[in-house]
Amino acid sequence: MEETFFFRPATTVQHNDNRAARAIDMACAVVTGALLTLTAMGWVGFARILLTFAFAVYVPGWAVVANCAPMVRGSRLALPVLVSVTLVTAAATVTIWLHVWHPVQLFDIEASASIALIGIAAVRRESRRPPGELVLRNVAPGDTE
Amino acid sequence: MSMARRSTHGVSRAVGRLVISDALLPISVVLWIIGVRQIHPSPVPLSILPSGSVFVFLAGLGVLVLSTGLLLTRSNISNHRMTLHLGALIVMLYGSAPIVFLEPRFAWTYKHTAYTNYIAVYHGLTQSMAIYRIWPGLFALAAWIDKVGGISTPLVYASWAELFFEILYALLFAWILRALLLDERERWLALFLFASANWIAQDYFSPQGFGYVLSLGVFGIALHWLKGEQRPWITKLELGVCRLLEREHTRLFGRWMSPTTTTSSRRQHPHATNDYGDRAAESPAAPSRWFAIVTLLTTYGVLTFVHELSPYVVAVQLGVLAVIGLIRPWWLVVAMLAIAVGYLAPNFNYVNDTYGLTASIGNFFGNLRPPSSTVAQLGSAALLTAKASRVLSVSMWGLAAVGTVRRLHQGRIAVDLALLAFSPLALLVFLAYGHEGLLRVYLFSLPWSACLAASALSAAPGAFWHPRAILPTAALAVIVVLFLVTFFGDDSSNVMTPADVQAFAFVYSQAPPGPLMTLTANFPAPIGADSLKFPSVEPLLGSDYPGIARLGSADIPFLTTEIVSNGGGVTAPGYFVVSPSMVAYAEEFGLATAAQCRTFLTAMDRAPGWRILYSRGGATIYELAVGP
Repeated sequence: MEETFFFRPATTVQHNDNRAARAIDMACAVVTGALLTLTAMGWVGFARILLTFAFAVYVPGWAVVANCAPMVRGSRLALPVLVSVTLVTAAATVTIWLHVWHPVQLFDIEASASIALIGIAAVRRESRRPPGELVLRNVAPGDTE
Repeated sequence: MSMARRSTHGVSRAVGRLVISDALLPISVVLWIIGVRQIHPSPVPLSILPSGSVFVFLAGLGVLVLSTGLLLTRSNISNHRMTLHLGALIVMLYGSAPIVFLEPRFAWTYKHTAYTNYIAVYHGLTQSMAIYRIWPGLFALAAWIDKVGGISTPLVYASWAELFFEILYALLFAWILRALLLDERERWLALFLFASANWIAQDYFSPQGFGYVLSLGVFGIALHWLKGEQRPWITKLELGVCRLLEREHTRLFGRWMSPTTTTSSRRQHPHATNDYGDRAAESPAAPSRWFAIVTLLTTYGVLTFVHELSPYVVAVQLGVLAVIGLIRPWWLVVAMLAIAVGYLAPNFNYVNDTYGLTASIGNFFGNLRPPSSTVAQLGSAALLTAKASRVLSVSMWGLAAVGTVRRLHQGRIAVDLALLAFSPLALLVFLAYGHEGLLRVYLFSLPWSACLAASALSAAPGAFWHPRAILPTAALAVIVVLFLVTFFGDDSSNVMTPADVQAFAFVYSQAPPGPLMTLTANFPAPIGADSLKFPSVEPLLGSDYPGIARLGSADIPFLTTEIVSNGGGVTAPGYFVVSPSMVAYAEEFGLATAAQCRTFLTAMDRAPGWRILYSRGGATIYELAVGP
């Protein structure tokens, strides 16, 4: 059975999962970094609009899902999208209710938090040993497991 | 030499793997591009008597449906090909309007952009937003996007909201489908039916369009990670019905009823209270249950302040699943309802006074009436649209009923999908929702109806021209045609032209605030943040219209009195606006003829106290100046 955007069979191996997760981490970092740069420079244009939508629809959600539900296969696209729009909408609405509407500063916080969480998830993922992998370490006489 | 031979061999192998759909898909896309480019942005792009360009557009869609049907009959479903076909279908159905029309299509879009602009400019909510200030989620999100994206108004992207939301719906529904007991063929067919039967048009730049994204997300989390075991008495009931159907109907519908699916059935596991089948094979890993519960309740909480109705429908649908044990923990639904009711409670009096919530409780059959039932006389296009929408809705529900019976006969679980598909009807016991209750019922029933319809239509792989194999393609083709009529049929009056938008942009940007009346309720306003300073007066041909003969010079005193009673001409100027879409709307819904509108406007040109402030492209703004 083929693997696609929508349907992923259970036979997908952990190795592919990690490789895809790394690629998504990189894409999220690029989108967030580029958008932070463009907003700081005050540059206006189609690219900034696209990056804003890409960030709002995916990045914060991926930052959460990569940490809290890293083993959920098949939810690499839908769940981050859902969590992302939920979080961004909640944050924007609450700042209006609290009369602290500063959308660009709010974005700075969301972007920083997302990058930090994605970094933590990446470190945790890379430090996790794939099952069956041979690990070499120094052992002193008398050490026990 | 050997390299050349190897290369030739590789090419011939690649060519051997090609199927006819690999040629049909590009052909359909090219036809669609040619058709869309040729369609003039007039208000009637898909009239019932198609012009050459519309014919090319329809041919593109026809080839795509044919190609999809061919793929569905193959023994090995190619997910890459199906994904491309689904993407093409969504773009063709929902991406054509923003390409053809220069302005956002629906009048209702514009007030949502005005509320967004208000938040962006004044950093808060206002009483002028009426009910929308209680459910500001979409406007807050859009205002945030505007500021971060350096956009001045959501009108920049509002036209594309339909395509954007439909892509998100498809994505989330595809995710949901992996949690349901369907085989690959049924899943793909359900996705195509779902994408092509959503005629409600809630997917424009609107809270309900965004709320539907969150609603599907809540269903996705619940069905993937909070699914419990079906209560044994339900399983026994299903098994009983299964045996009864087998005894009574096998002789009549034997071939049609025979299993075509790879999912497990009650026959294979007669004592099981749960059925895993394909779903279990695809979801071996799950997040912590608490992560799922927290994510679901957070998403539901946001849905509660995005849209007023959606949280209750979602709670009802998940509630019935909790009753039969399919959603666990049971208190989750109680918590959801507590969030929704707790949010509404402080605003209940205002909402009830404005919209009469309690007045429609218990009036099921009254609440069942569709929006068209409130209009005295429909024009030919509106009549056709109303009929097509009814046929499409009844067809989907009919196919869902047939799918339920077929699944039960095949010994498959059907009760969860059937409950999800038909439980939204309970909504109509409580409210009419401005005679749009039935539309919402259809909308929330659609994903599950599409699944059951796919079970009804799905056939074993075989030759395309076999009567059973051609059925899904024929059904999809009929649904797409009905969708086109329903979705675009009212465009003669629905579509906002540049003349409409420019007239309102002029009055809001150039004129001092004052009460504003329009000919009909079909107008693109308010638009900007400051347009909320213009008090809106009930349209002349609205529900309070007292005229006996529809629209004539005798109505001018009534118009003037209405404007003056709102302060127009006394403390501030007053305005009366007429635009091409309003005249088309008046004609289509039997409010006035075009000739009556012309006579009335001629009289307005000479009416004492009134002067023409703006006139361009068929749109005219009359001003009642302050003074004696």
